[in-house]
Amino acid sequence: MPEKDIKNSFSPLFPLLVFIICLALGYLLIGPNIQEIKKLNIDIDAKKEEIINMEKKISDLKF
Amino acid sequence: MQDMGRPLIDEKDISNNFAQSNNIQSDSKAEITGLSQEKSPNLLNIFSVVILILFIAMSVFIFTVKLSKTSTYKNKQEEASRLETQLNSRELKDVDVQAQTLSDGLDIFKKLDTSRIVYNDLLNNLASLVPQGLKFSNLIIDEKFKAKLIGTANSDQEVAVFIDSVKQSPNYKSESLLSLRHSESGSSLETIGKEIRYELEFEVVSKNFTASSIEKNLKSPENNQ
Repeated sequence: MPEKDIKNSFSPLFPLLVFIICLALGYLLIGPNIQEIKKLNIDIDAKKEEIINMEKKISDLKF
Repeated sequence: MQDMGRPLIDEKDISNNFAQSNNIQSDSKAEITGLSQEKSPNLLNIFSVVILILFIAMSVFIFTVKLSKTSTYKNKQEEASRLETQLNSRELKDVDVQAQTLSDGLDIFKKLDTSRIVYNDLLNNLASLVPQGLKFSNLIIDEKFKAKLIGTANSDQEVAVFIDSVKQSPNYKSESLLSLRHSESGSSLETIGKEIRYELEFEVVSKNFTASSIEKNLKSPENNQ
């Protein structure tokens, strides 16, 4: 069995493998992280607003 | 010279050579097609590798962004808790100071209110002692609660009854109750036609007319009776 034939038999599997790896990455790593980033953005905005309100309250206080 | 009859190139050789050359051409064609068949999977593989690298890079980038956002959120949370503590302490201090100010103000107000003379009650009390026919024309009370009352009466008896009532009342001090002065000879008691003009001086017991004492009287109706 020449080497050329072995190469030809593996080559169609490689793109399939890459596709599966990409799917796994997207499902396990990218998707949840994007969701978490969205949630963090909302939380950060809420905290920013809270901080602004508290700073305003502190500046309104006399003492 | 024997080979002169033999042709230089044999027909068989020509056909053999041609066949060989054809074989070579067919072999080279086969090799060329084999190469093109190998190249197309190689390109696909390279493309796949590039896609995989891009995906991995994207995953790393997103993970880094997530870490950065987490750090930012933690910082904001810490800042918020610090400000909350500061706000609470300041609010408490502010409320304490405001409560103290209010308490002081209330104390002053209570003091002022309790020491305030309720002139309405004083006048009502004085009016209750006045017999029929006796009139007031002027009443002056100074800051030491010394009162000077000027008025007219129809007879001496009316004035005498009034003086007696004032003497008996616990709201006025009898010692300084009256000083009579005729206008000509220094007394305040004189006759003008049928009316008698009188001028009385007495001291008001101020504590009996303060708001606190009235409040006490209101709270204990038995005392009033």
